[in-house]
Amino acid sequence: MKKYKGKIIDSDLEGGCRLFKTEDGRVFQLDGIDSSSCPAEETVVIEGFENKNMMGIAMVGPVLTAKKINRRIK
Amino acid sequence: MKFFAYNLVSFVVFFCSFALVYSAEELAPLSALRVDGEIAVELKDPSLSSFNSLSCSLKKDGVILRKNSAFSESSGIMLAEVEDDGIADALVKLKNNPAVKYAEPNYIYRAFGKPNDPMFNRQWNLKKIKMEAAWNLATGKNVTVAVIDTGVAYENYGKFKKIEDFDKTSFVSPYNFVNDTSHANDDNGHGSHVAGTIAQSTNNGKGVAGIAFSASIMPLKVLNSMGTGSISDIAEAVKYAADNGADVINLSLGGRTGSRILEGACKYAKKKGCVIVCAAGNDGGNFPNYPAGYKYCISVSAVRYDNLLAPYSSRGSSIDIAAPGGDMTVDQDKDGYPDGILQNTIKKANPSEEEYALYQGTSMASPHVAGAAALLKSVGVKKPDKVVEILKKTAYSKGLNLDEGYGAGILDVEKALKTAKILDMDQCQGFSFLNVKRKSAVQECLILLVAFLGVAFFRKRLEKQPYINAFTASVPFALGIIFGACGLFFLPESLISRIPLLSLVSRGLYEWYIPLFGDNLFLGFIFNCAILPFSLLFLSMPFAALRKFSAGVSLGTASALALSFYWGLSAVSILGGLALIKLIWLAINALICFVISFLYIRFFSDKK
Repeated sequence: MKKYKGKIIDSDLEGGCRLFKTEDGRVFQLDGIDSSSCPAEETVVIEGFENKNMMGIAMVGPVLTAKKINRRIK
Repeated sequence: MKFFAYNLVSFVVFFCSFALVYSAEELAPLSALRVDGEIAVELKDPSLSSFNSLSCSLKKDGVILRKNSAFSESSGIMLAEVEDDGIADALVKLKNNPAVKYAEPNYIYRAFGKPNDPMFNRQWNLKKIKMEAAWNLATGKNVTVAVIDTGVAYENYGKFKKIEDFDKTSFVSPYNFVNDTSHANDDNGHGSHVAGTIAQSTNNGKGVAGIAFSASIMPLKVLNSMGTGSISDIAEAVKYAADNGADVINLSLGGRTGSRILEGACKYAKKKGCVIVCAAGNDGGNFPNYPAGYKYCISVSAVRYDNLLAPYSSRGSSIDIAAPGGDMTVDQDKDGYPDGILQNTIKKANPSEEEYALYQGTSMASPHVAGAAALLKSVGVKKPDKVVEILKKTAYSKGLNLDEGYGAGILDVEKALKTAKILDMDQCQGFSFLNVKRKSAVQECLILLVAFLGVAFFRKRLEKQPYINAFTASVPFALGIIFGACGLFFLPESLISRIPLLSLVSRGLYEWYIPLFGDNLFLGFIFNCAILPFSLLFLSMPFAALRKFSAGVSLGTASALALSFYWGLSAVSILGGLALIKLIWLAINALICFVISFLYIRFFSDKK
């Protein structure tokens, strides 16, 4: 399990996808726990892992399976 | 002379009757588009008095005649309304009425063209790929398209509802690989949107249109409500689709990492005859996405209204073809809405509510190609490689920088279907020397007719020969013409399949290599030339009856080759150089066959 810091993005691709862009510019499609309570553009830290056994509709990068989302970032 | 005329007339009548039976069968698919209970009528005399008198006489038979438009009095074109079960009787009566010039079911005047779905005008994407013309050629009957996605809103089940514009769409063998149930309901909206592009109910007076609306959808859910799913489920769904009769598989999903299991599943499905169509990816770069990157799949990039690649669309050399995927940041068609792809789907937050939503992405481009593949399958192109070949060969590429990521160009469904109608891709039922579909019964009759015109020419030019009439009006000569030109083409397939010899005699001599050896280029050249007729003429010289027969064979072959040449002209632009060589070959050999039969008849018709 790794920690990823970045912003949640509401993409208008494919009818709407939740993406996650890390500070180093990597883009993931989000999977795992529900991120709907996090507003878009909010900086969060996600604990999870890059899931190479998953595919998705976003097709912008790998799938990030989130186990925990920490919204209180200083 | 009388004997010749009798022979000619009886042959023409005999074969034309078969031609009518066969051509009726060929027209059958169009009947689905006719207007129920309507017959289009053209009057010989378009005046009001003629209309009134015909109208009165038809009324007693339950047929109501009305004007087709304000111009009917000048054009003479009327509509006859009748109960649907009485349409056949009414047609006969109208056709036999001396005041009527033509009467036919009203499907011809209602070429499919623009469907009556009220939001069709907003589907710029369907116009771009020429669907209005394409629907006159195919609608996807008897084809199944598996949509491997987030599910499809195809049934009322618990909180899930069937969306309104799937009311006429057929669904088969659904499966939910996420929850392992047979209810592949959509909880995201993506899968229903994709399925709508392929087979939304069309011409039903509701919502929007779909490309292959007569095709059946096989809903296979492998992605959860967030639009993600495991490779194992996807691979299993691909195999399930192949094993359960899918002709086309659409995969509007992907990932960066390849998988040998998924690649193997795609290989398996393609081997079973499935065309696998995949979204190329939405990262705007050249990274290969999978499964689109596998050689067993068609990778589809997305274009906008102005034919430019959409900014999000993946590019690169792995793309096979481009199709409309939309760009929501622009309104280039000036309809007041962003240029997305419009289909009926569920609302993202609530699967029990539906909407007509604009989506963009290569996921939206992929089902355009899947729908086109379904249409090609429905007109008889069976092998996946041939489907891909036609789609790529007919793609629109003028003015495009193909290296950017268009693959072969932008999908053109009308051209693809027209090409499929010309090319005989894998059936090899005949006429395959030019890779052109088997000739219709009408064409076989025309070959016979041209051969008999050749006979008339011979008789005119050789009228001073003492035995010309006896030679050309003989039964062996007539049989020879049939043997060379068309064989017993009217024999039913059921009979031919039971008795192998009949597959030979049901064709002209020039096509015998197909049932004997299969479609073979070398043998095509041998059989479609003057060698066989010439050999027959030479060998039959000592035998009077055989001389007549072989002269007929030579003339019949000349006629068949000449018309094959004529009908093949339209294929040259599609088939390219080899077809041109074949055409020249046909023309030269038709001429040689004609000349040698003429010289032969001239030589032998002065002897008893």
